[in-house]
Amino acid sequence: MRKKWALNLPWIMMIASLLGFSFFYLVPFFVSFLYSIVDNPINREFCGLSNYKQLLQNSYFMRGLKNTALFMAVSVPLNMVLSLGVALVIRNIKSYSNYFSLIFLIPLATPSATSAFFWQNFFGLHGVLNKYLSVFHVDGIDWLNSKYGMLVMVIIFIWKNIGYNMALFLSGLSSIPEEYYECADVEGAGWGWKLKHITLVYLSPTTFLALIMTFVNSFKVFKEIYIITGEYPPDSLYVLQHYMNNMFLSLNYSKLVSATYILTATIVLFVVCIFRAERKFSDHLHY
Amino acid sequence: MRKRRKVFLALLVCMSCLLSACGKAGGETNIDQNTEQNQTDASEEKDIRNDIQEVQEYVQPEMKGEITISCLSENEFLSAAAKQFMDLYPDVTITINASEAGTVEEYQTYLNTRIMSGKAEDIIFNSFLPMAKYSEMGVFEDLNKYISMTPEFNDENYFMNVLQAARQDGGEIYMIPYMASFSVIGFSDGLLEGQTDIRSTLETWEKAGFSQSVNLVRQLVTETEKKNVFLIHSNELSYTNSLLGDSLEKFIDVEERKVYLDNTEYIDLLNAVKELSAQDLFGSNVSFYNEDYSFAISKDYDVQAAYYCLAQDSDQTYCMPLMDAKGNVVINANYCIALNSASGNKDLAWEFMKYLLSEDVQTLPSLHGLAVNRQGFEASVARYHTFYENNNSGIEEAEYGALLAGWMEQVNSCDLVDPVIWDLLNAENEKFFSGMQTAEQTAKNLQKQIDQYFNE
Repeated sequence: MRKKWALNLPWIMMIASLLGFSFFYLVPFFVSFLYSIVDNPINREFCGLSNYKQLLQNSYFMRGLKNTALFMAVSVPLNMVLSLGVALVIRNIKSYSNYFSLIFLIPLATPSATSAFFWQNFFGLHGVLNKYLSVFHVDGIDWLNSKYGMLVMVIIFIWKNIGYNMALFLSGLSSIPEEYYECADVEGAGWGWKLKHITLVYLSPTTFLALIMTFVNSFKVFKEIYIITGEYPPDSLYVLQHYMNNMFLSLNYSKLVSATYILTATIVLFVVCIFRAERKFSDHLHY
Repeated sequence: MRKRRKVFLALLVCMSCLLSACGKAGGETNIDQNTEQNQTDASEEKDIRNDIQEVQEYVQPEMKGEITISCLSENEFLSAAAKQFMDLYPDVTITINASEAGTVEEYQTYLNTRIMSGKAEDIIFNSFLPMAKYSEMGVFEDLNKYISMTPEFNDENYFMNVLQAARQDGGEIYMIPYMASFSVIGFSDGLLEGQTDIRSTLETWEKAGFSQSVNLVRQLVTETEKKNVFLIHSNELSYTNSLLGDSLEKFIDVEERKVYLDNTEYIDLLNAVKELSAQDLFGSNVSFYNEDYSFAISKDYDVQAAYYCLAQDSDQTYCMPLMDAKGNVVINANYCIALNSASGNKDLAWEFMKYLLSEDVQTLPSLHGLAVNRQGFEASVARYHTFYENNNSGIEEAEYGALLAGWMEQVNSCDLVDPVIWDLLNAENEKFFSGMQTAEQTAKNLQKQIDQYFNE
């Protein structure tokens, strides 16, 4: 009896969570599809896939999509590499390593409005960065409203999220047995060899988790950018969430839902690819 | 294998159904060919409908049920009217959902969610909402039907020109004002001393455009030997808004969704305003009521402007309603109400809207402006006359009322420009006036932002 209960308990707990998820997310998401095939939610005249077609022909939507893809392509791998680097350095620090970890975790606890205010004052035309640069006789640049806008967005994202991935990697690193490194030392292996053949191999499950979380968190940079630049940011900072937010404000739910479906399809495709890659990598892994 | 084939076929059928509806663009030629015929049919249908409406008699609904009202903030006038209505019809409950959200943006988000879920309130009080966009989306009921079926709505009882000021080009009326508020331009009596030409020009005017007025008296300000003379009591931003209000269509074509701000004309406009400010022609830092200062022109609100225009000891003269580039005298849309097209009890809601416009409510002291009901208007005039007569200027109530009534008769439009456009203009123009960016950059940013707003 006790054995049966123990077997069923995870399922019971899963069902409770799944019900909540379905009720608040999954069902509304599928129901909202109806909005994407009508001209507008008030007239509700069936229009097939014309909303999707219009979206793919809309230059602003395409710009948002392109910027979002570019931002992710740059920021996600960069954040992964930097956070792993920080985790490795902190792990090798003999004393006060906890304090260093804390420093990197501070941005996570900083409210978005506060960090937005800070970055606005840092990158603004009359901001701190330009004041420093003026010492070297460099003319002031409105960083957010220039071709460097995307770079600013990447910096803000990495500043905010590096601590999170670092914590994940630190936890993954602590689970790698020290004996492997000792054995490699005895065999005369160098730092690079140990990183490639021990650290990265045994960190692969953590790396996979960190990758998914970074990908999800990359959508959250919108909050800071929105606070700094508002609904109509410079071209280089315009991401898909701007488009969706503006569609909501202008009551264009049909386009909003269509855009959501296109974005979801892209995300699902990406996540499926990561899962497949991870499975293949795990299959070929020889511990 | 068979199962797979069935699933494939089912998917194919679904896709073809969806794609067939998608072929709207492909069917444009057919649509074009049929457009003329459709338009004729539509106009005939409209005529028939109008005939039916004329014949239709209004039947009052059963005065029972709940009416919900959405507004940005608590409104004394609305609360009092609701209470009176519920006392009159005890089976009717009126729920006023004043937004708890602090900002207009938050209120708009709340209202959008309600509208899209089909749960918006029966009556919506406008507060900086994109009413034109809402109307275009079909959020509001066309009130023509109700207005035509309400015999009380006539010129004898109402300023019908004000009541129908929000009429669209197609004839639809999606909102009606419960009070009128418009801007008035006045000229400095002292500065016009001896200026017979200008005086004779002003005597022929019944309404005035902003730029037209500025151009008329601009030279007098720089040439006068009097001290403490300003062009207008304004700051750079509001002066620019007044100029834009006068010629907005030149820069922004709302109907065609086109923007023409990234040009020398707009850049020159911004630079000209900055130059006027540099010449210290805007008296934004001095008190409007301080008689030591005089303003060549003054832009004021209706009831106050009328009083100061008549007061002998005031410097204002030749006051007249402000008109836009098309010659329209425009009222503020923030005092308009609309009926939700998805409301379950439109007739009952209309009964309350009608009640808001009735003499019983329009005479309430909590109506802070000019009533659209003529009896209410008389009450407004009496109230404001008493208020301003504390200054003992000896102005007759009849004289004051006649001036305001004359202005009211000139109203023929409602400001339906999307508040988002003004917000964008203000945000960028402010950056220019505070020295954060050049006029060229401002024009470029605005061009991009407003174009994006239209075509996103």
